[in-house]
Amino acid sequence: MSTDFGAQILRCFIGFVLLAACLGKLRTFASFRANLATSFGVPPQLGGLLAPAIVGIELLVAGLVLGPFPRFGMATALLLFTAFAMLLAWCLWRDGVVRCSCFGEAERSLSGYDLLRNLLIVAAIALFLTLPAAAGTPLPMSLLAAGLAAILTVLAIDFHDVMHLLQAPR
Amino acid sequence: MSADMLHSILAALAFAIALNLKLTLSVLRSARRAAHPAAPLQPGERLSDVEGTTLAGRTRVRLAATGQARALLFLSSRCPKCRDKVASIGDLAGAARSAGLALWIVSDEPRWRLRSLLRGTALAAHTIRLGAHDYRLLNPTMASPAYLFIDHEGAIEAAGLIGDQHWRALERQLAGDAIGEQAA
Repeated sequence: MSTDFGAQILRCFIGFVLLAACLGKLRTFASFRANLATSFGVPPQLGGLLAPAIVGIELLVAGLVLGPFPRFGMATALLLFTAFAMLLAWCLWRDGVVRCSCFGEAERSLSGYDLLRNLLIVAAIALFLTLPAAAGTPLPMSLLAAGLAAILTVLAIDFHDVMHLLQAPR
Repeated sequence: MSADMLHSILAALAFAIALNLKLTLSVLRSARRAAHPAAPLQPGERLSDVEGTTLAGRTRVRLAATGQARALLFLSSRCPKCRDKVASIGDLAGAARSAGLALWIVSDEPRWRLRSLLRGTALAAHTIRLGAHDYRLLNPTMASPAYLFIDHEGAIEAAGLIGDQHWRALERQLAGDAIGEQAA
């Protein structure tokens, strides 16, 4: 039961993170499209196609994770977030500065904490995939898992700010 | 109370905590913006008495100390324009020292990031690191690439963006001094 419950939390967490990424990108879509060109070197015309494609893929994977194919969705999410983490690490190492608006953060460039957040997400997905397939949890338990996943999602999305607040002098 | 009811109540509490966290972070971001109104320092104002540590050597430097004119430069590794300016600032540093002008790049960024930004120049000896709070006192608008010219009394003579008319005047002046020294 506890394994099923943990798997349900991880599944909701990844699904919510993907949905938040879609909403964040749509909220600052112009910035996201521009950042594909300036930070990642994507030609503007290709960026015009790639930006909605990324949002669409994230939405699709969120649907798979939260829908009827969680394991397939999580495997896809593992590939997606691993690719994002590697790309982010490469750009941070090469340029020292990356702007993304990946979760709608328009005011700041990405930091090492954002990279760490992505790695923790990858670890969470890997942990889910190592757990045995869940037999299904009752609705109240699923709601509780979703609530706990919502807390994790907020902490993950604002990981940079949370870490800075924790380090701020009192 | 049944287990299902308990789980439902806990779920509602968990969602409430998530919402509370989100709102709290939003409020903190708004408060931070309000606490640091983006008003640039003006000529005539006295510089805040802040101390920094040199990137090379790690000696303490008082930026508002009297007795020597200073040019404080604000470069950020996060701005592509700053990267473009690094080479020309490296060329200016020697001429500035000869002219008796202390030229300091001021930053609150980590050492490794600054070393990466200044790679290929001798500007590490002209770079001072500050805490984020002190940095905001000197550069409230977080502008970059920007400068402050400080006179011998520790008052601001000019402030602006690197490349503007005051900056170009300094470049011309330092270039003229360098040619004069060569001719002599």
